[in-house]
Amino acid sequence: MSLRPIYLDHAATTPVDPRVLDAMLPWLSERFGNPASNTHCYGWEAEDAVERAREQVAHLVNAEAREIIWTSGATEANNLALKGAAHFHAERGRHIVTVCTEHKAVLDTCAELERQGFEVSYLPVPATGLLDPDTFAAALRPDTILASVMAVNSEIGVVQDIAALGHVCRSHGVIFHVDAAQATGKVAIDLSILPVDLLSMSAHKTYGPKGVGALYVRRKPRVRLLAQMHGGGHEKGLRSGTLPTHQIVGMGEAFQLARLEMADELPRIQALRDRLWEGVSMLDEVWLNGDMQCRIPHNLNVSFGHVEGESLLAGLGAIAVSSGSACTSASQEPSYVLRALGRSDELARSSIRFSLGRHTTEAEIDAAVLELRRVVERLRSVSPLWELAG
Amino acid sequence: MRMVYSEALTDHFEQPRHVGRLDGAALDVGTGQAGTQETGGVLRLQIRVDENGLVAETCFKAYGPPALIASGSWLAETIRGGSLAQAGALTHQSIVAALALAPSRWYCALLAEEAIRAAIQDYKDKQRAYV
Repeated sequence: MSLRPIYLDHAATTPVDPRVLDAMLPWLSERFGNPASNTHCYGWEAEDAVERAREQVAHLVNAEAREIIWTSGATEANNLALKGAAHFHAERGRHIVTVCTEHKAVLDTCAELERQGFEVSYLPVPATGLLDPDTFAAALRPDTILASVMAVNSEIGVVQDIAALGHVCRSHGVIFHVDAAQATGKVAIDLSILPVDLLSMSAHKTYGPKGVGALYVRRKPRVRLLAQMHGGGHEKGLRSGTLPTHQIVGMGEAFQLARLEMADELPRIQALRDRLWEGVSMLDEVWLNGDMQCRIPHNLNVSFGHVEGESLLAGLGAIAVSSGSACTSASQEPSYVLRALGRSDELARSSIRFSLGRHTTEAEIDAAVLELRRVVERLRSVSPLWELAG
Repeated sequence: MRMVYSEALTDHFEQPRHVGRLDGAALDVGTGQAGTQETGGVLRLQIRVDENGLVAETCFKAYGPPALIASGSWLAETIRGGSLAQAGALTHQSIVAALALAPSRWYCALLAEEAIRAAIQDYKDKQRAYV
């Protein structure tokens, strides 16, 4: 196979935008200084670049630059937010609330906190995947110190009502963390209005490089965390470690591009996604997973009835997609997110996540639709069960 | 879930041989089915045996991973034209070797073996009832 498959897996990662790469390169060569070196121009110029990137990241989510803490990615940001807040406020209470459809970076961190003696409530969601604010409010207790809800689900792309959930937290005095790894550049985030205390971000889901992310930590009212990484006291002591200037510059550039181009990009991607769904839904027995309205325009998650999951993926060699989340596809277990929506194991296994991106074209969507229909129809024609059902 | 498929497996999966169904009620047709949807796959194999005791025609259908579809296709191709005894002597090891199945997919070859045994039994039962 000489032709590379059509890439429809942008929720796993996005390519680095060429403009981002251009911005990064000087910081890997002649401008190699350590941003913490304050005795010469090598360090000063690196520090300036890092601070400019901090402004760019803050700008996308309408926060202040000093509220942004650099991390190695969203996983580390989630760890710092949850463990940092839980450890700092452990005297006040030991109860944490989250949702069973969160990313593993939140769920596994919560499991570790349980091991450390905290108590975690994992809230269910209905078939839409949308957390009901009343269910959420009812789960908060006097000893609840922290809640974590992702802005955009990584598998089904549904957008939670962060404003409503945040207000519930405010009225209960609960710290509210939001994993926004899948949200930046896809939905508007205005932290000057949203009652969010901590917000995790990742560069590589938004056309930046892998290996860098950030945690927003609100200053008013100030949110206190206990550092999880100790060393040179970087990032106001919250996250020690020499800053990777080139990565940070890349994230800054990527987030600036996202801010400037979102308004043009989203309708274009939505039109392509709708075209994809139109083509796919012409097949019999296909089921959309998650709410269609409260969803980012990039995502389509579909279960194909009467088609076995591994054969579906193997047949779709010409399209790069994932079944379930990329992080869990090392195992044959059906997606826990789709199971949480009430899908059967069989349908969860034979589901595909399509995630479109900045460089997706109409020709790619049309080719993907043709290929999908060919593969699904072929597998059904081979199946003795489809014969009975049909 | 990076599955590595052998060339033979890919070939049978992409272009399965003898997909279809024979008249299960016909006296010279034996039908064997193995597996369930819930446990990883269903394979149905059918044979038509001629007056000389040779497998004149074969058909299969499968729901399952590529290894199961390929196992059904390989089996339908391999036993066609041979004697019933030859078909009955085939074991899952032959299928595992022919398609280079990964250990996690050996069960597909076992289902195929079960299906061919059942198809032969079904044919023999019909013959016996007729006589």
